[in-house]
Amino acid sequence: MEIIGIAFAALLGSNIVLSRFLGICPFLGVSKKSSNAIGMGLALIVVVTLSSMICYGLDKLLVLLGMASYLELVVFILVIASFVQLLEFFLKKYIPSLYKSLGVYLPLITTNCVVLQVCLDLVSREYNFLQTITYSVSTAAGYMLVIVLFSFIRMRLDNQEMPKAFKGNAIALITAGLMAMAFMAFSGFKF
Amino acid sequence: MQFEEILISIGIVLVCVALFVGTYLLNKKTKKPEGCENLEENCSGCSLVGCSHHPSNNLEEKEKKEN
Amino acid sequence: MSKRLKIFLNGLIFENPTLVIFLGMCPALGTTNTVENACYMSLCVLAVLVLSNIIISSIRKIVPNEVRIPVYIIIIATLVSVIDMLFHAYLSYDVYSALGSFISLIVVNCIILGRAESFASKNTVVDSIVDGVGYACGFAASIIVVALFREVVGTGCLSWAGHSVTIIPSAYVISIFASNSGAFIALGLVVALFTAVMNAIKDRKAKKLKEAK
Repeated sequence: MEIIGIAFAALLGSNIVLSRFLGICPFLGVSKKSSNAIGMGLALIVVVTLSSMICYGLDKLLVLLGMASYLELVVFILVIASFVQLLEFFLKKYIPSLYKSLGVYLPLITTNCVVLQVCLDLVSREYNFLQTITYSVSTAAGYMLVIVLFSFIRMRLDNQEMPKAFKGNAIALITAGLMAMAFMAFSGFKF
Repeated sequence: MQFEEILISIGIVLVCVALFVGTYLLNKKTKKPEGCENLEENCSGCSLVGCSHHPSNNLEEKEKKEN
Repeated sequence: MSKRLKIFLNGLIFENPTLVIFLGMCPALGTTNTVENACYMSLCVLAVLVLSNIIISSIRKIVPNEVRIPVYIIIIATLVSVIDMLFHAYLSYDVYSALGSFISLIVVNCIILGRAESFASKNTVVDSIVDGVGYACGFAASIIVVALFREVVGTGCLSWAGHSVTIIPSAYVISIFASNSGAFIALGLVVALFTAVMNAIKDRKAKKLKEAK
């Protein structure tokens, strides 16, 4: 039952974008068209799931060596970055069609707060392997849900009339605030 | 803080750096020709200069090719 | 002297990281619930940005072109780890737990990596310091303004290290601004205000040019 709680909380209750304010830069930048948003979301699910598994193993290793407290940040970010490079290389060589649709967003995900935060979270909350996978998949799925919904709204928002100062990102931020208000409803559930 | 621990931690960081440099160079050498130019235009140009698809990185490559 | 002033003003106003080019939004939304958190966050970003600019600018001629980005990432990650530990030791528990995860996320903050790659790797040390201070001040100004707005309108009182001053009686506060969705709305309003002011200045300049002709 705890797994369902973790999944629900990561997906809706404390959604990584609307409740925890992570991954906002691509959220505003990539959500101008729905096709971009869907691509970004799928790429993020792949990267977050696989990197969280790698970071889980790395954390066990670092704790064994006793260097976890100060070496974690550097090792995590380097390994995540090299994993993203490796994934891009792998897609370019062996699955070009996937690279065509997802490849643009891979470098963007390296500097995305979501991946690093998921890895730091699974360390500080001391999840086991099954909980890690559930948490990372539902977090990334929550991100994809929000960014795709937001892109649908934003595509219609572009054609509306509004004061010139609000055009572009200002009205997008206010819309995101309204979405956050709607998602607050999910945080009242109790299991 | 024992001497061996410092050495091992520096060693681990250097291994990670080597891993990153290796995968970065491996990635840079292979280029996907089918629609690779179109990818950058599709990605609505953000201001993240660190992204390898950013137009400012391609300008340098194009100048090198012309020269 | 005016070249350095131009660099500084560029970071502060014309390319303000939060309000114009929209980098580093995550701390701008997450740490603006009180002015105290915003001040400590901007102090942190100032420290990391200036120090990383200094280091990267001083080694820019030695680093080969292929390994630039990994080297920058290591420098920034080490600096952030050190500053994280310093803050953990010297800040009070409430402030650190409110800031906690956002300090570690400065590593992937687009401002620092972006400035390192586009400015510090191509300019001298002193210019990079000015650039770092300019961008950090731009970031600081924007999040302190948002935090001020959120704290005064959302909770009615300003607090610093335990002492608080009530400005608006609690019956008249708009408490949505103290919550999560209020962060987005407050930032959107501040961005709109800033864009309106910049557009007005631009229009006035264009009008003056037209009249001069």
